[in-house]
Amino acid sequence: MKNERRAERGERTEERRRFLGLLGTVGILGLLLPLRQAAQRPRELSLKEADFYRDHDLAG
Amino acid sequence: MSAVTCELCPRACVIPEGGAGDCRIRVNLGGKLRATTYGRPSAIHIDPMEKKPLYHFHPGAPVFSIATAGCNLHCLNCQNWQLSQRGGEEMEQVYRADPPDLVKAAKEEGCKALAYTYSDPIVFYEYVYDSGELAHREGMYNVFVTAGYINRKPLRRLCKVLDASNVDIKAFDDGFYRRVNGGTLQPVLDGLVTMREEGVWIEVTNLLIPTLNDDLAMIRKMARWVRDELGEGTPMHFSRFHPEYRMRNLPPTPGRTLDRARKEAMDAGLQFVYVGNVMGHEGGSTYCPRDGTLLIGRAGFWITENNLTADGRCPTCNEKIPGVWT
Repeated sequence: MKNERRAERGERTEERRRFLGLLGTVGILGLLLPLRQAAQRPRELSLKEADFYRDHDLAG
Repeated sequence: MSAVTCELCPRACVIPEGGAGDCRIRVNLGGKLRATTYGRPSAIHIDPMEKKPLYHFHPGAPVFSIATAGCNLHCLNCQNWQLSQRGGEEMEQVYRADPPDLVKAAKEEGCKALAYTYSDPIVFYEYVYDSGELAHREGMYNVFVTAGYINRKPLRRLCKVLDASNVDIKAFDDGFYRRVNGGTLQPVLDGLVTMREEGVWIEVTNLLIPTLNDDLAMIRKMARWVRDELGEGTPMHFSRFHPEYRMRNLPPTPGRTLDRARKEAMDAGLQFVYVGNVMGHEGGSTYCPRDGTLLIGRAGFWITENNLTADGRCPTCNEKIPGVWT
């Protein structure tokens, strides 16, 4: 009896651990994805920051 | 959810809600067509007019030149692919510049012209139109550097704000357009005729790619079309190809190919045929078609001498030279 109860408790602990692990992963991804998107967004500059006379190799 | 059809260019993209057209920047937002790069250029430079290239339109004038990301063609040899083959959100940086900001900045820098260039400005049509209208109100000119792959109706409307355009004819061959550019030839020719009808000053560029579009018979056909449909005084630029983007397997255009193309076009009756992307070539200068007098000498994009009279005539024989000179 004692051993069965211990085994049940162990299973529950394992399930809880898995659930918390999954929750943690989702949480981290939820935080990282918007950060990644923000990093991918182009940097917005004002015209005052532009160097219109910079050498460039664009055609046209 | 409603899809929208973009009627700007011959692709006629049917764009689902939240999606983008082939050009990457024209999107369907809540059932309305929007250009994501409106007021968000990624390239702004001040170039000489000759760089567009426009050789018969305000020679030597500095031009406030802008481009946003995106293009409705996908040329395998694109020289500006980092700009043209990306969507606005893929660029590293963009400028916040609504039309009044552009016009103000151009004026402050002493530019009398705005150029919409580098990528194909067709895709940021609304931005060009609004900026162009404002520039006109301020007494400035608008220059449109394009491959001309646009429908006639929107082009005709846009012409109201355009003063000059350099239009690329990629090749006088529909198969080439389909294979190399992902487009078709006829809309480009229709667009050129529309521009002529609307009184826009036109110059034509043809980039010669070894073995792909340098056939002299095709060049002759193209030159004759330009002569008959646009006029013998229409400047034609043959540009040297450099290996770029997805076409790095071919060498730069040999000088003799450019010389032969120039001769062929002149023999076909075009009066002003230029060679581009070659420093110090005699075909970079303007000569009087009647007596051969050197009218405008150029070294690359820079003018070395300008002998035209104030009203755009040959100083020797008084021949009127087609163009917009003052």
